[in-house]
Amino acid sequence: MPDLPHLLAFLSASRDVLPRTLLLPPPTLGPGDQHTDSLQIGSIQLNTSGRVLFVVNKLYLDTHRGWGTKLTPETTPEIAETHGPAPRHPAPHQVSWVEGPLSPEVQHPRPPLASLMEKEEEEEEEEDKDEEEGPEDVLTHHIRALARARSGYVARQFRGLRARLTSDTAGAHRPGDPATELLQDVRHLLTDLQEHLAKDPDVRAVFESRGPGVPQKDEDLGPAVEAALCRAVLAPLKPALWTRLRRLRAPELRQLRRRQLALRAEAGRSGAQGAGRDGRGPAPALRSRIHARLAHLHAACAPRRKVSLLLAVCSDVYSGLAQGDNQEPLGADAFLPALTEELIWSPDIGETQLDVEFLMELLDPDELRGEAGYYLTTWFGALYHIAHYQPDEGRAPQQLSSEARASLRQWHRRRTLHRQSGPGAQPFEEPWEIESVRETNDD
Amino acid sequence: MAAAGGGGAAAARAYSFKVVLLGEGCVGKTSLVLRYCENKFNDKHITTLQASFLTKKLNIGGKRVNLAIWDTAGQERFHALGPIYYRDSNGAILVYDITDEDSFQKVKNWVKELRKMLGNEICLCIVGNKIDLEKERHVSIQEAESYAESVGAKHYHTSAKQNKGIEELFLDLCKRMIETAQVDERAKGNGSSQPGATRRGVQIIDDEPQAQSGGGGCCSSG
Repeated sequence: MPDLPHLLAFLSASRDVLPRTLLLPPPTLGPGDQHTDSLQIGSIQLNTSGRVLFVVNKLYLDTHRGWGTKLTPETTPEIAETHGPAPRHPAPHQVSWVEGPLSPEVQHPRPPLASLMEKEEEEEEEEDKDEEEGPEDVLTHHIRALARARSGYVARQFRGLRARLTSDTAGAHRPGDPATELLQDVRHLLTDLQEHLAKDPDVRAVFESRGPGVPQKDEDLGPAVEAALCRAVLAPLKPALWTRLRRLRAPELRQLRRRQLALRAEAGRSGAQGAGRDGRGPAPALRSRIHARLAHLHAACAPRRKVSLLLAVCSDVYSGLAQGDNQEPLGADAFLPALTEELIWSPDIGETQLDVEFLMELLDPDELRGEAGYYLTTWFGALYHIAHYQPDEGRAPQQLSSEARASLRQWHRRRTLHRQSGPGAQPFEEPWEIESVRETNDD
Repeated sequence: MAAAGGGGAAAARAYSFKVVLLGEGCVGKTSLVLRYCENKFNDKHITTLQASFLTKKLNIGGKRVNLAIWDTAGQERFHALGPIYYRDSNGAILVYDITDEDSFQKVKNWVKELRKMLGNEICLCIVGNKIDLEKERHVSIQEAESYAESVGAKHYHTSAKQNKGIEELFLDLCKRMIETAQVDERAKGNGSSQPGATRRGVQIIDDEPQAQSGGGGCCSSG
């Protein structure tokens, strides 16, 4: 966790003393680093277990020397909001984050299993990693500071969504599928903040102050802000968001997993003749490669990275199909069954479902009409097919069930949501809009 | 962002159309579209092994068109997934094999469903493929053409193998989609300020290359 000490130093250096947040040079602090130089602005200590982190804010000490011993410094944004003394720790001037139920913002959502990566994957993953987890740039630090500031637009929005994610009642009054509504809110927050930040002169200054070799052209500002937002705002919210999505989708996900097992069982029965589903399975190496990619897909946070991993899996599936004599490009007749087969054997199909839903809600409408949209649609279709599998083939559903239509309708509604000018704007009416949403039974 | 309102000067803009490809397995959907898009120039896609999603850029009488072609799986067990593919489509190409009567029946089913779900705003093309196998024809030309007319679709005869009729099919479809889009634009009045509400995603896109637009164009045919 090389970022955490640096972040804490940054927070303690800038909070409560300065009228505005500071921009620190790229991080050099690491766990265990100590700075006793009087010019240093803070010191950080990790105790031997590595579980407790102390931050001593020297500036705070200097400024509040007279009474600082009576109060515990404000530490996290939540506490900061209360503006009241919060004497929780006996030792003054020390803040400790104890391992345990960390608040979402302290958790660092990096893929936990990076060390278990397949050897053959490593090279590729290295470059994948850089996209999301390369050395954090100053822009990310800046936006993270804004999100954690005591006040300000970004902080308000950030805290608003965080509260919505952790409270059970928020949004309950709204019509429509709660999970979709939630994801729409996330998308709304991100597009809104991106727009806001791209106009912020401070953000532009930070963007232009980045070191040499970093693209600084105007058209790069948007994507840079987007990437930084994913790290600074989306990443801290991801655990809470996923917890909530899993809960909201629990019945559907249970059904999906149950049908997945049924399909596996059937494949096992007819596997000897190879008649189960069309298409031979790919080589074992390829399949484990796909599983590794899926694990990264679940662990990733930024939509762009998730999309590129999803497309990489598609590419793998095509390679599996082309292993024989046939090197002709293949269409959906071959691809959809092959993808479905892969998903049947994938280890965590529920997470895949959530990733696909997440991306369908978060991508731009333009992207949804492009290649990424096509393949996302195909994943959605394959998962739908699995979830609605019926053992006797004769009863294959001829029509999309009403709940699926309802979800499609919502999906469309979201597409136009971010461009609506006001609450009165009408969503596009679809032929199946009149269908009422039926409760989905768990099986 | 990307979309600009309808109407007004069409100088530096391009139409962006989505076309869905429907039909039973083995009728030659993929070969048809591969012929048209010449996938070999197409290194922008996720892999050169794929032909499920193809794109083509056209210039029709000064109007620029970006075509995205969505292939679907023809197997009956995937039939229920149709709507997630054809939703938002500006056009549909319904392919049957002239030697296979069942595949023509399948096309009729699709037409019924599309008209029911999307109304008359989607441009339908019914395509009898494999005319190189004329001797084995099992679907009469007259029946197919009169059926197409009765449902407001256009009928085409193609051979992916001999590359016959394909260029014409797509060109025709594009012209019809442009017409529909123009009618749409006019209906919406002068330059709506809410491009997001554009019907069925008929998007008029600024000609400036979009830095972020994912699956952009590919093989150009000036």
